[in-house]
Formats: sequence, structure tokens, C-alpha cells
Amino acid sequence: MKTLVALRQLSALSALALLFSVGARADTLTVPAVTSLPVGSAASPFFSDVRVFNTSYTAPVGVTAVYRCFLGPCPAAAPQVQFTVGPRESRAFDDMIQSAFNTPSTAGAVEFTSSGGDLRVTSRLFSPAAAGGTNGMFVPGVKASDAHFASVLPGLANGAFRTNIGFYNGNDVGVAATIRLFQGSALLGSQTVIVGPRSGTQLNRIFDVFGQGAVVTTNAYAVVESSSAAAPLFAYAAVIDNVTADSSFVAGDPDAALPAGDPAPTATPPGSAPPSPTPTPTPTTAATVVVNLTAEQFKWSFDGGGTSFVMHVGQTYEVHMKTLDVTHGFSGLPGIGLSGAALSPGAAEIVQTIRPTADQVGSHVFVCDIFCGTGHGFAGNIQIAQ
Amino acid sequence: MEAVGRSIALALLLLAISPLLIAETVTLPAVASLPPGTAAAPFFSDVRVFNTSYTLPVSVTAVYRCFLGTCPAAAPQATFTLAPRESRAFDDFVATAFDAPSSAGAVELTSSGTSVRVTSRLYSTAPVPTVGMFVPGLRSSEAHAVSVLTSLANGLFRTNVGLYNGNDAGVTATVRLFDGADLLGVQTVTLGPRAGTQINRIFDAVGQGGRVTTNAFAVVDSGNAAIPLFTYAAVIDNATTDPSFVAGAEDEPVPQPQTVTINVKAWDFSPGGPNSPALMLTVGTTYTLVFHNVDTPGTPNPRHGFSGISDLGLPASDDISPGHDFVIPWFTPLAFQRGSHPFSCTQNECGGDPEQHRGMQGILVIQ
Repeated sequence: MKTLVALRQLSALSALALLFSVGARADTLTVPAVTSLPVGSAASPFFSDVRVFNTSYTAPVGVTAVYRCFLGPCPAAAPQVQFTVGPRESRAFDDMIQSAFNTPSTAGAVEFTSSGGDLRVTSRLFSPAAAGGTNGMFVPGVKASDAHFASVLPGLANGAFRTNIGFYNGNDVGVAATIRLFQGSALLGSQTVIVGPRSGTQLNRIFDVFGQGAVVTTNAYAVVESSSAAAPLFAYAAVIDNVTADSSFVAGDPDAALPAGDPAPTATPPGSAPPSPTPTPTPTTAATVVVNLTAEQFKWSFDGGGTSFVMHVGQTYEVHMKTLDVTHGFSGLPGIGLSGAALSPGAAEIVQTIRPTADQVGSHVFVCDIFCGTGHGFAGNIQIAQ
Repeated sequence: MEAVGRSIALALLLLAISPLLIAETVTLPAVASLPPGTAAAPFFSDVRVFNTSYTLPVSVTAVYRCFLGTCPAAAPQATFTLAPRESRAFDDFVATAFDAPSSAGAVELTSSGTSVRVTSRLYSTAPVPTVGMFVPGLRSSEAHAVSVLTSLANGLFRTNVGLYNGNDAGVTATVRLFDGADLLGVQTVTLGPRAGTQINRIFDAVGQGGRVTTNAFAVVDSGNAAIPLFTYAAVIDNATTDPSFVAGAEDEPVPQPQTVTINVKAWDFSPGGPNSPALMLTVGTTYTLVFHNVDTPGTPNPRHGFSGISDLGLPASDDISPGHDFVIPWFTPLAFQRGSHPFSCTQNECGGDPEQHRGMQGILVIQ
């Protein structure tokens, strides 16, 4: 009997705790892609109009919005605003990054945290069209349960379209995220990006990044996988019509994890020729040369020097890439065997090895392809010589 | 003891195989195949169906629930199998898989297990090459008895609102369109089982085509907690025709309105005035206001009107006559609306005496 009473008391206590926890619960909704890129600060201007709605008919709700900036000239500390949304009020924030956070020429994610209320957040990310009007896409505010350890992004396209892939890490720990791009069963490319806590990145023109810019498809898919099951990611793609600049937002859906013991698939080289037997290596006549390539706003530097570097046919080079400030993108030089890479602050160096051949002699220009501020798009050059 | 062990083993076995036995349905609430000439603008849906499993194929049955245009008598369906990690492409899905061009509706894709992901793009080929929007495949948990659609716009944009009833029972749903505190209008639609509809240019449909806003919202209420609906809006830029898809999010249940009857006769609103006390309403309470004619038989010209109160978003009517009530179905006063709001009769000859009519003015007090 005593046990029964104790159980009842425990049960009542649990119910009370549950009731209290619901009342005091803090909910966070994340808009994973927001931006304010005025004319002149990027290849195209982009803005985000955000709406925050309180579903309650009776109670106002307090909201804290924190801007997690990770592209462009981001402020040192995450800007935040607090506001109250009345019952059944829809609060409008046009060009929210500029109007609420005063951080133009940047992009990132916004987290909306409320306590004791129930919010809905929607947004539209758009670009003004040359002939008037706008082109854009709906970007929803997503719940924590919409972040996944492994996400799949179907319906990706290239050729008449281009595709950007982004993700946001809403965790308090950094992760390594691996993006794999597939066409049918062929792996077109993969890349691992280190992303800090409460940070993210976007890889523009993902087919180009993987040296697959010539692929024409409307049925590719990508898998975005976190290095930690405890640190799920919000993943998305923007598929953009190259003529109308109309964009569609593809939200990451939960994917199955790669079965344990299966090796990660290897990429199909550009041109998708079937793999041929590996030739017997030609003995090298010189030791591998290490080249340090750094990116900073807004220049490339080889070994701390100029923006150009000369490599010689037959010599093996190990290229070590890193950023000295914000996230930059190495656009890649598939013609000489260098893949595109995102260079994130604090991340390990990206290392790639190449051995130039006679048919690669000439000038090979690369650029920063992840928006990094008003001087974005800066170029570097590798000269291959005999 | 042995029996308990067997029960546990059986339970574990069922648990292990249950993911394979569960049939899951993913719904695309808006698909179309409208070639040029069949609608104001051509529209098509390209659909992708993906199997997340690394090891098992999955069989999928897709059923087209046509409800706009030239619909076939029976719901067409297609069955196909996806290999592990296959993404199957269905360009112009409605025409190619279901042979139902010049129609629009929803598609339900049912599979055993939970490994299927569905995405689509609904697009127009005017302007060329395309402008369109992502339409996700939705799970049953994403249908709601009451849902809210935010970010709706009119003026530089237009907004279409759509509903799909994926249940085996019909329902009469109510769509209420708001801009701030203003209830702009109400549309009631009756949906059969596994049927839907789309209200194009909803601001025009509720008589508010002149409204300019980018911050309106709509509440869609099935009126039955057991009948959730998939809802969406397409917000379209009038200059570029670029559409954005807004998915319906779960909303709080709509409060049941309290009915207040205002008896109207020559030359008084009761309550309201001038002879009766003011009409008193309370902030936060939802009301249905019924203006009911109570003129005595033989009253000359027994027809009255209500001027409306634009500050409160209350519409006008010029017909409150015997046997014809004027009803404002849903009004919730808000805090900033506190105070006195005058209104009057709009029928100059009511009761056969224009002089008396001019004095037929009432007061609505929000407290």
C-alpha cells in the first residue's frame, strides 16, 4: 500500500513537472538561410523578409532573435534583438538582417527563442529582378527536430539550373560535415567542411565546386552528414533557374546513415570515364614540394607572397589551404586536379596533392566562390611550366 | 517463466520488423499539368521520389487525387519499385504517370516502411524557361485541423490558398483571411473525401482586391479535430510571376464565438441605440454578431442597414429586413480597439421616415 501511495505521489510529481516544463519550455525556431546583400556587395543583391507569428489568442510572447552570421563581414559578437509579439500578431521584419541586426553585406542563420509561447516563423529570401519585381524562395523557420545527422537533398539540378548547398550547425560544438553529391549511383564529388558551433556555410554552384560543372541533370541528390550523431545539422539546397534567376528552396529530409562497415563511396572523376587500372608510378626525381595557399579578405597568397605560383611538370606538390579570417571558397582547378574546397576559420588545413603533366602547361585561374564581403570573387593563379 | 520469455521474444521480433510493416503515405498537396491554352498560365509538376535505404528496394503506389480541370472518373494510380538509393524522376508527373493532362490535384504516395522521400517543383513555363516553387511531400502529421499560413501578400503580389483533405470523410472548411487585426473575409469550402480545392487570388475572392499588404495571414479550420487538412499558399510576384510555397503550420484551435443578436427595428438597434443601451463587447472574446430585423408587421419600408465600422474591420450591409439577417461570423476585439465606435443605419427611407432614420445611430463599446 505504501508503495502504491509512493507511486501515486511520484506520478503526481511527474505530471506536475511535465506541466511545468511545458509552461516554461523555451522553443527555438531557426531560419537557416537569411541574408542582406545590397547592390554591389555580391554578384546579385539578396534580402530576407521575415514574419514572426504568435498563435495564442490570449497571451503575448517574448522573443529573442539571435543572428548567427557566418558569411561576409560578420560582427565579433552575435547581434540579437528582443521583442514581444501580441496575441495573434504577425510581426514583419523586412530586410531583417539590416533592419533588426544592422549587419548589411552578410549572411547566416537566425535563431528565434521564445518562452511560454508558440511561434511560427516564415521568410522569403529574394533578389530584385532587373525588369522589376522579385525572384525568391520561401525559407521556413524550422524546429530542432528538423535538423538531422544525415540529410538528403533530392531534386538538385545543373545545366539549365545551378544548385547551392548550405547547412547550419545549431549546436554548441563544432562538427565536420561531409557533403556528397550523386547522379544516379555515381558519386560526383565529396567535400568535408569544418563548421564551428552556431555557424554554417554555403557552397555555391556545388557542381562546379566538385569539378562537375558540365554535368546536365535535374535529378541529382546530395547527402549532408554530420560527424556526430549528437550534433545534427539543418541542411538545404537552393536550385536556381539560370535564365529567370528563380530559386526553389529544398529542405533537407532525414536520410539513412551509411551502413556501418561500408566504405564511403569514391568520386567519379569529371568526364565520368570508367576507372582504368592504376599505372605503375613513375619514380620521382625530387621530394614533394609543399605549397601554402592562404585566403583572406580579399586576396590569395602563396607561401605568404604573391597571388600567382609557378609549378613544374613532373614535380609533386602538396597544396595546403587555409583561411586567415572568414570563410572563403577555393573554386577548384579540376583541369590540374585540384578540387574546390570551403576554407573555414579554425578548421584544419585542406591538403591536396598534384603532379602537373605536360598537357596542363599554361595559366590556371581560380577564385573565391563563397561570398566573403565586398571584395568577394578575388582571383589567384597557378602557372604550369615545363 | 518460459511463456514470459516467449512473449518478450515475440515483442522484440515485432519491434524489429515493424518498420517494414508500417505503410506510410507522403502527400504532395499541389500538382498540376496545365499545358498552354488550358489555364491562365501553363503549369507543370516535376516530382522526385527517393529511397533512403542502402540495402532494400521499396515498392511505391502513387494515387492521383484530381480535383481541378478534366478529372478522370476513377483516381488513376501507378505502382513502381525504387532500388536502394534510387531517385526516380517523374517530369510532368500528372501527364506522364497518370495520363491526366489539363488537370490539377494532389498525389498520395504510399510505401511500406518509412524510407521514401518525395520532393517536387511546380512551375510555369511563362515566362520562359521557368519560374516555380518547391512543393514538399508531406507526412500525415503535417496535416492539421487548424493551420495558419503567414507571409501572405497582395498588391505587388497575389496569393492563392489551397486545401487537401486526405481523409475518408468529407468536411466543410473555413478559411479566414486577416491583415493585422482586420478580418478581411471568410470563405467556406466543402471538400469531399480525398479531395481538395484552391482559392485563387484570395484577396479578390473575399472582396479585398485593393488591399496592399505583405504581412497578411490566413487560418484554415476544418471544424473537426478528427479531420486534419493539408494547407498551403502560393504567393506570386505579379511582375515576375515567381511563386513561393508557404506550408500550413499548426495553429491553435479557433475559439468558439459567442453569439450576440442585435434586434433592429425602426429606428433602433438593440443593443446599440439610440434608444437601447450601447452594444458592449469585451477584448479577447470572439463574437458572432447577428443583426436581426424585428420591425412590427405593417411597418412601412421595414429594411435597415449597418454602416460597418472600418476601424474594427466590421463590414457593412444594406439589407437587414424581415427574414434576412446580416451576420458577421467572427469578430475578436483587441486591446488597442478599446473605446466607443459609432455606427448607423444605411437605409435612408427606413420605416418610411427619413427624418427618424437620420437619428438611427448606435454605439459599440469595446471594454
